[in-house]
Amino acid sequence: MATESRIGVDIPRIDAVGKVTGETFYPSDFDMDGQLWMKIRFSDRVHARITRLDTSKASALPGVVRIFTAADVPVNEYGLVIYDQPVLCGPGSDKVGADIVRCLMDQVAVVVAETPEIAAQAAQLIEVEYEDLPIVTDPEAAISPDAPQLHPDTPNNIIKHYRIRKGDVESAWQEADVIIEGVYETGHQEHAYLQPEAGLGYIDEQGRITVVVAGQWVHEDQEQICHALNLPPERVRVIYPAVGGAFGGREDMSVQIVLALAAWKLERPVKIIWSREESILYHHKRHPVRVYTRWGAKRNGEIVAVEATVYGDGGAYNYTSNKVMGNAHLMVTGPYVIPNAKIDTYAVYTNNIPAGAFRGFGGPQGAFVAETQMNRLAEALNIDPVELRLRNVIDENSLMTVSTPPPPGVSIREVIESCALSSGHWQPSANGWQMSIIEQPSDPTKRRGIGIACAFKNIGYSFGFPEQSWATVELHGTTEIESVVVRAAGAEVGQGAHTVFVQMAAEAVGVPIEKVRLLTHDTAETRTSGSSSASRMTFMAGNAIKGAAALALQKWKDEDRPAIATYQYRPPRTTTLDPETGKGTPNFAYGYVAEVAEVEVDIETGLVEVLRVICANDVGKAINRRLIEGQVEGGVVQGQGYALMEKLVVKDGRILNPYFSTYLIPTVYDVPHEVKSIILEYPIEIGPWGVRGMAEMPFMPIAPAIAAAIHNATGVWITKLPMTPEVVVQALRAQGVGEIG
Amino acid sequence: MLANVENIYVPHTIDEAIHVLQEPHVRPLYGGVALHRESSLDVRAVVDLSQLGLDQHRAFDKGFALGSMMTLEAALAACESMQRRYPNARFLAEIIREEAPVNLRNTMTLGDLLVERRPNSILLTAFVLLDAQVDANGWPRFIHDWLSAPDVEVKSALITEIALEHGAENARYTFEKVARTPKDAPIVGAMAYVARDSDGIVNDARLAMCGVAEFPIPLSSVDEELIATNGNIEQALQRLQVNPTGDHWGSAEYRAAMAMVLARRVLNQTINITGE
Repeated sequence: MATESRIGVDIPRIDAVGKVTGETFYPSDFDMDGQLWMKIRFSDRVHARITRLDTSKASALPGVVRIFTAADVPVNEYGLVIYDQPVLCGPGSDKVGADIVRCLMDQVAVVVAETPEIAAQAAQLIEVEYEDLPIVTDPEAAISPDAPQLHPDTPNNIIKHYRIRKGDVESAWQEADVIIEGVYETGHQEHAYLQPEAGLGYIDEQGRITVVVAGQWVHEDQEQICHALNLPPERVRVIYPAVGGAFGGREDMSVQIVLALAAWKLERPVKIIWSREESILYHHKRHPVRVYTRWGAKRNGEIVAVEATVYGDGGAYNYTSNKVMGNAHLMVTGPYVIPNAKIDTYAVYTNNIPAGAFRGFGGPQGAFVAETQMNRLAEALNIDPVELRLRNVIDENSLMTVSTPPPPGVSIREVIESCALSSGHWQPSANGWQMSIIEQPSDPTKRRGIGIACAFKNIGYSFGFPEQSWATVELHGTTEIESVVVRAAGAEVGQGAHTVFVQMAAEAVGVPIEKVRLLTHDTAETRTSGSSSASRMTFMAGNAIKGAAALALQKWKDEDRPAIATYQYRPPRTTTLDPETGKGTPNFAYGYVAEVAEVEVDIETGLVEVLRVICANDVGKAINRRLIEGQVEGGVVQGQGYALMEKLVVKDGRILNPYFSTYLIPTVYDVPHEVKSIILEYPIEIGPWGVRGMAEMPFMPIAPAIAAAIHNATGVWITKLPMTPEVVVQALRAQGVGEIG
Repeated sequence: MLANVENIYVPHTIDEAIHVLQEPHVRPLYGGVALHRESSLDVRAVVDLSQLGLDQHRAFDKGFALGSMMTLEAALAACESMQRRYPNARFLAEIIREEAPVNLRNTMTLGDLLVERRPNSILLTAFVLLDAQVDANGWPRFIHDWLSAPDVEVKSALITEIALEHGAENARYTFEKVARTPKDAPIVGAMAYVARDSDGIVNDARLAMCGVAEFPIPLSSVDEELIATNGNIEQALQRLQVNPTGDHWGSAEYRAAMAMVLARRVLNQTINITGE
C-alpha cells in the first residue's frame, strides 16, 4: 500500500496529453460506415402557429433519406424540469400547443440525407406557413394581464414567483439612516464553449439506440430521450467522448433527441455538426434580469432592511429558469444578515431565446446587485467597503434571509479578510479596515481604481431537488490490489473532474494513482452521478467514490476477489422555500469567495482595462491546486467578459450578432495582467476530505468588483451589464466626467 | 461557401484577366478571403490572378506601390523593409499589424481588403489618410473615389496595385481608436498626418476616420483649417462634422462623441509634439 497522500497533489490532468496532441476525439470526430447526415430546420418566426408544413419538395431532392416532423415524435415534449418544449414544432402531434413556435430556436423539421450539403439544401426546401401571433420580449410586459400567454397552463407567463417576507420591512425603513435605491440590468450571455454542438446516433451491437454527444449529465440525456421516444432506459445509451466546454450550456437538449429518433427509425448512423452560428442561435443563454431594489442601514453600518423585485427573462421555455431565478432570489441579498426583507423574484416566459444554466446559475446576477448595493452603502456611510462587509456578514449563528441558519462551515469573514489583505490595498487598523489610495497614471485621460466584492454559492442542487451520486469501485488482484476500476459517470467538461476522481479513488483505496482506471461517460457502464454543474461534482462524486471504496475495501478484507462495491451518496436534504414567507433550507453547503479588481478607465472613451484580479476562494480542501487555479483564471476571465464586453444583441426575439466577430469574448490580449489565486482551506465535515466546491465561485463577484473599481477610479456607479465603453461613457458624461472642454 | 462556382479562369496577362472579368457573375480571386466571407451565390466563375505577378511591391520616383495579391503579411514585410527611408512606410507597417492577427494577415490580400471596403478597417483609413491611389482595370483613382464607387464596379474590377507617395520627411503620423476591447477592431478610429515647413509652419495636415461613415473618410475641412491656422486644433475641430449611423457596436451618438475625442487626441499628438 502506498502511504503518500494523493490529495493536494498537483498531478497533471489525466486527459491532458490526448487533448494537447489532438488524439482525443470530440463528438464531431466520430464517423461510421453508411453514415447519414442531419440538418435541422429551425423556426423562421418568433411566435406563430404553423398552419402548413410541406416537405414534398425537400423529400424529392435526390439523396434525401427521410424528413422527420412533429408527427414522428412519440411523446413530443422535453425539458429538464418541466416538459414544456416540443421536440419538433408543427401539426400532427398529440402535444397541446406543439403547432406553435415560441422562439427562433424551435426545431420544426429534421432532414436526414446522404451528405451534409444535400441535407442543408433540403432543409431550405421545406415549406412552412405561419400564422403570426403577438410577441412579448420584456419580462415585465409579459406578466401584465394583456400580454399574450405563451403556454396554456401558465397564466401571466409566470413560471415561478418566489417571495421572502422576513421581519417588518416598513418599520425598518424608519431605523435606517441611509437608504440606497438602485435599478440594475444584466444581459444575455453566450456560453461560447470551444466545441459547437455535434453528435452521432447509431444502433450499437446490443441493439441499443446510442447517441455520442457532449453534455453535462449522461443519464439525464438518456432520460430525456427515453421520455420523448417513449422507450425504456435499457433501449437507450448515451456516451460522451471529450466534451469541449459546457458552463451550463449543455445541461439541456440540443441534438440528442433528434439524433436518437433518426437512428432508431432509420437503423443507420446519423451525424450532425452545428456551425458556430447555429450554436449561438439555438442553445440557451444566461438569464437577463432587471432588479429594483433598496437597502437601508444605520449610521454604524448595520443593515436594517432590503427590498427587491427581480424579473428574470426565462425566454420561451423553462429550461432551468425556476431554479436559476431561485438562486438569484437567494443571492440578491448577499451573504449578509438582513433582519427585514421583502423580496419578490419572477421567472417569466417571453418569446426570447430560452435562458438556462450558466456558471453561477443566477448567482452572478444576484451578486452584482447585492455587492454593488453594499459598495454604494459603504460610500454613503463613509465606511470602508471591507469594514462594512465584515460588520454584516453571516456566521453560523445567523439567520439567512430565508430565516434559517446557513449550513456549518461559514467562512465568508475569513475569505474577505484574506482577499483584502492579499491585494495589498487594505490593512486592518484600530478603526477597522482601511483602503489605501491608489497611484494614478500621468495621462489625465486615464484613471485607476480598485474595488472589492464577495459572494456565496451553493454546492449541489437546491430547493429540495433530489440530489445523489453513485459510484462503483472494483478492486482487482489476489494478494494485493493490483488495479482499481472506478465507475463514475460525472462529466469531464474541461474542469478536471476525472483527474480528481482518480486522485480521490487512489487516496480512498490507498494505492498509487497509476493503478486507478476510470470508466465513465457511458450510461451502459455507470449509474448516475448527476450533472457537472452547481460546483457539485468533486463534492458529490468524491463522497460516492469514498463510500464505494470503503465498502470495496471491506469486501477485500472479506476476501472477495474482485471486491466490487457500489455506493449511493445522498447529502443532507434541502427544502423548497415557503411560498409566502420564503422560509426554508435551500442548500446543504456553500462555498465563499471574495475578489478585488484593479482597473484603468479611459474617461474619454469609456474603455476599461482590467489590470489585476485577486481571487480568494474557500475550497474546503484542495484536491489539486493547479486545477483550482485553472478554474479561478477561467472564471475570472469569463466573468470579465460578462462584466465588460459580452453583449448579445437581441431585438424582437432575434439575435443579431451570432458570431465571435460581433459577440466578443475576452482574448489573451484582454485578460488581466495578473490573476492571483488565494486558495483557502476551511474544510466542511460533510465534504470528502473536507472538500466544498469552487468551479462557479470565481465568476460570482467579478462584475461588482469591476463596477466598484470603475467607481473608485471615476466616482461613477454603473448598474448595467455589460459595461461596454458606450455604457461607461454615458454614465461618466451623466456625472460630468470626461466631458470635452 | 462558393457553392455555385463552375469555372476557374487562369489568365496569364492583365488584359486577358480584365477581359474575362467583364463577363457576368465572374469575380477576381485575390486570395479568397473576401469571396469566402461574402459567400455570394451569384458567383459562377472566379479568376485566378496568381500568374500575373501582382504579389510584388515596387518603388517609383515619388513613392511605392503594393501589389493587390500581396498578403497583408507580405505588405507588412515590404513596409518594414522601406521604413528607414520613408516615415509613411513605418506608419503603414504599424497599421497593418493592427489591422489583423497574423493568421489572417497570412491569408488576406490587399485585393481582398480593397474589395471588402469594411467601414472600420484601419488600413483603409490609413490609405485614405495617405491619399493612396488604386490602380484598377488599368486606371488609377484616389482611394476615396474607390471606396465610394458602386459595389458592382468594385467587385468585378481587376485591382493591380495601390500606390502611395512619400510624405514629408519630418511628418508625424498617429492613430487612436476606441474598441470594445483593447485589441478589437475599432468602433471609431482616427488618424492624423501633419508636416511642417522649415519655419515650423504647418504646411500639410490630414485627418481621416473610420467608423463614422459608410467607408473610412478624409476630414478635408478640418485639414484646411489646420493649415490655415497653423495647427490650431480647437479651431479646426469646430469644422469636424460627422453623421454616423448606429449599430450594435456603437450608437450614432457614441460614434459622434468618439470622433471628437479621437480627433483631438491624434491632432494633439501630431501637432503639439511636432511643435516641441
